[in-house]
Amino acid sequence: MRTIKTISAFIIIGALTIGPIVHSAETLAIILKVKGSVSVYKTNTSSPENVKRGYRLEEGYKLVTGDKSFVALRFIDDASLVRIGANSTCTIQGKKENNQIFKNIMVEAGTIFTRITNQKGQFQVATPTSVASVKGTEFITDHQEPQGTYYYGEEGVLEISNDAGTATLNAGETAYVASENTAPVVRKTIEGEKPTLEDIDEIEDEFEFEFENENGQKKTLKFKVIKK
Amino acid sequence: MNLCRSILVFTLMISVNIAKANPSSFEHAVPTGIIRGEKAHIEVLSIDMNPSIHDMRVFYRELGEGNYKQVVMKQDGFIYSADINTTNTTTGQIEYYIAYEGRLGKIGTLPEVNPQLNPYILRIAPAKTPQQYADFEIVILSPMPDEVLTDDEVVIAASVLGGESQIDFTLSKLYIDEVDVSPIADFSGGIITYVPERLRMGRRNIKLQLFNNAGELIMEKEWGFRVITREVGVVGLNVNGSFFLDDRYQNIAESEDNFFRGGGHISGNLHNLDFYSRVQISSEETDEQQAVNRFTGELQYNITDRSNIYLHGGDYIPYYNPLVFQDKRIRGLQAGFALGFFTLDYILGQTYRGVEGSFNFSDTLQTNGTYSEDIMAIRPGFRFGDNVRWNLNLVNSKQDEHSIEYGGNVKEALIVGTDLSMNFDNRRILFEASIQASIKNSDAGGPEVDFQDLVEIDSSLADNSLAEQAFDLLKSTDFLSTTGGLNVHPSLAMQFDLQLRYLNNNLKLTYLNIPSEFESPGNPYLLKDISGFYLTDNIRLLRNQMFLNLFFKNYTNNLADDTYSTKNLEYGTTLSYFPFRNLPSLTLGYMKHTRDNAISGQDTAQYNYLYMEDNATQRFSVASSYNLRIKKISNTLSVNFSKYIRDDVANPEGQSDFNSLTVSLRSRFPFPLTTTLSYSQSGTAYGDTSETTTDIDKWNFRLDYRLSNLFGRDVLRPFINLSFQDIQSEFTSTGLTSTTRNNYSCGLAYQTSSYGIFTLRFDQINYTVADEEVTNRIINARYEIHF
Repeated sequence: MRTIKTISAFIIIGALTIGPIVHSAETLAIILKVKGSVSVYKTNTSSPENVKRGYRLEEGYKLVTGDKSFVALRFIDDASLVRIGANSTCTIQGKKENNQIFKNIMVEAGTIFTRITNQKGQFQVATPTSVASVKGTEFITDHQEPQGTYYYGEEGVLEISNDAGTATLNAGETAYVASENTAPVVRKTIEGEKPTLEDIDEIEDEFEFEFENENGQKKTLKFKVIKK
Repeated sequence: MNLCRSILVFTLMISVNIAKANPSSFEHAVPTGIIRGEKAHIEVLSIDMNPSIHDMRVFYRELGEGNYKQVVMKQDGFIYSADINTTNTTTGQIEYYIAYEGRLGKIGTLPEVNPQLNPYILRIAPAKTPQQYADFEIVILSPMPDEVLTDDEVVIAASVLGGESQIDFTLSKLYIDEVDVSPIADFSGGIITYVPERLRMGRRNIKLQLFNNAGELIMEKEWGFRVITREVGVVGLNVNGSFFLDDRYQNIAESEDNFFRGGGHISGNLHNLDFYSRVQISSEETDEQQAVNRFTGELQYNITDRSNIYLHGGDYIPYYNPLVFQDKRIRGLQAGFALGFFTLDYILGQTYRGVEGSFNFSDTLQTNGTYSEDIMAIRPGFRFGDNVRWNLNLVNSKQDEHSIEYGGNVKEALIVGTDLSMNFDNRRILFEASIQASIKNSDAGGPEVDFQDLVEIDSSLADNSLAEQAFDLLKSTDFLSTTGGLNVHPSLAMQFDLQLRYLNNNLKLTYLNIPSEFESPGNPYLLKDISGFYLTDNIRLLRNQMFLNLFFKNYTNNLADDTYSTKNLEYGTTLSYFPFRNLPSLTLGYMKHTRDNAISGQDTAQYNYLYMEDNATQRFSVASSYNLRIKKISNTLSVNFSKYIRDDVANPEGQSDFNSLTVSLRSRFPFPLTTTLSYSQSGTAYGDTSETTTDIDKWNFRLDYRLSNLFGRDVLRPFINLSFQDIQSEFTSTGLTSTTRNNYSCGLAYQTSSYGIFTLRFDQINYTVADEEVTNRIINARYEIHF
């Protein structure tokens, strides 16, 4: 009896200790903007939770957006931006190492826009057909069944690969991957074919940067960006 | 709340008195106890009956540098102040002087004599800057700097990945517009997040401070963003602005006065059109001095991100390059455009308005007034990408002899020149050059003359065809009056600056040649009558734990006459050490400055021996600071010691020996209270037999408190500053004299997120003059709101 109690105590203590280690996860990204219906699934079997701005995303969280919905998030190591459009399902994956995160976004369906400015750590976008490794700054990923995956290069370079081959995507080009057994095909983007994240309010962003030089002279630089 | 605002405004609208004119006088003390990384607060208190000071500026440079940088002093009633950032200083000493435009448009300085050569010395105790403590960075997640967000979508977030173990998040702070929101922010997991429900429209400021468990600030980041309402974002009109009221009551030498100022600004944009407007009204405005009121309007239409057309009207300060136009306020019009690689700027206005002089018929003594001065400038330019800019300029200024009745000689000037700036390799290579030629007429009010008349005055013009062509050109274009005061010999000024930043070195080389005859009506503060070069190098060593500064200057002033031209040689070095461990930081410095000219003590011709220069000044300095934590109080102890030795062969009575010791203790308490206690003692002995001595003892105590969220999202910052100074001077002729000077200041600033900032300040200065005690009192109240 005493032995059973001792073993039981070890099991309980072990579970309490190992459990948190197994299940402990650190924040990988922060949600900045939410519109419409956006849910998060913490595990494959958990029930969905609604998310609000400021929500902390951990490894393995799955985001699902509904019709006319949208969510924007940033990774905490390099502030890289991901915007997920309507009717999309994505899983956020990442591994922290030193001061950077090796990031992977698994796109099961839908459209995401990605902008990386000061890249730290590897950044990948994976779909059922292919994996894109980011070497540049901005691109769009659109995966729909059964059509396949489209990648649209906005800025920088993207390397797309699967078992059938590898291709490099530059700004102004479109890559199409029909299936995991079909090599990526790259061509020039046709005007109007790029998906737009239409469900987001378009705000004419204007921001200004005022600087004063050492002589006291002030100048203001103004930037206007159409925010989508 | 509207009633409260009205009462506040009414209370501040006190009746106006206009005081009699008097020369300006100031109170200024060099700040003590400054620790590297802090802002050095330079303050000047005007105790004049009618100060009428415009555009007061601090000119400063680190020890060893050639060029002075400048910062405009903010006017808060009759207290002028500016902050100098000491984060990047490595030599432990900043040289500075203060320049201002006085009531009649004349330039004044503090110190009053040769400020560029004898500036104030600001001593800075060495200390690690927050960035040197930490090997991680704050990554801003939201909002990005200068981003525009609607008021219902703001998320404030930042991360410190890799730095979690170094940070004590319970001590760390997050401020929004100076309001502490740390208690309701989330600091867990190395990520700081705060989601306000709604933020007021306008420009907002975020400050994040991270402390370690020793209470030391190890990382700080500050950035701004803008909030708009969703409706405004759709319409396309963005507006922001400010409004202020300022009142000062003073009792100076038992004479009471009151002064009032009010004004504001509005700026914004509508699609591609940017606009800006500013108004300032003052009770000091009078025809007896230069304008104090300010009226400004600006419009700019942006065709593309690099091309635009603009128009400025009213009061503005244009900038060309330091030899031509800098810091000079103009009332008039400025128009121009930038289209692709070509730019053009045109200025037409007035730099001074006429202020009448006077004539005393009883003693026939005339006091000259100030002529109105008109100015015209044109500047075409060429841009080659972002790396090269080349400009040409022509500036013409003329005084109007008919603007006043009693005045001196009427002056005119013409400046023609060019400047070039280049940068390469991500601004690691910077090169700037400016060459300007000026011609002036120092008596344009006389009768018109021919070129032959000028030859009779100046025989060197004979057979000088170029000079005659220049004369004919001036006559035909009317840029300058062709009267007897015209000097057709152009005065050529030039300056070249090269900066190289490679291999942990920051090497700067400057060559300049600015004759005393060079006329620059657009830059009243230009240092003239100097020629030579400066070389300085800042070297980073041991992973930024150590900084070595080396400088060498070789220049000549008093250039006009070879007999009196004075050679200057300055060289020196400072070494600063900031150990990563919690050890004291240390700065050691040495410099030597020699001056001599060709005059000997036996040269009695024209009393030349009185102008003999042969002296050398050596300066040794040691400074150190140490952080220590006692219970929960974070303390910084700093010590500064300087010794100056001046040997003067030409004037033995000018020899001096100066010692200065400053000890300062800064304490930060676990509640938001900061105190600073400093003691400084200096002693000077003059003359080769040290017959004259001056000893100064000074105590300074300052207390700053911060109360947040008293009535919601607000902050109250009261402060007290006490200064006690005892000056003992002993002269062989008069014996020992003793004077005291005590300053008492207190005040508060109350800032709310919705209703602006209200500040109140009281200053009392007690000093003895000839055994008589004098007391001056000043009360300042100010209200300011930004929207």
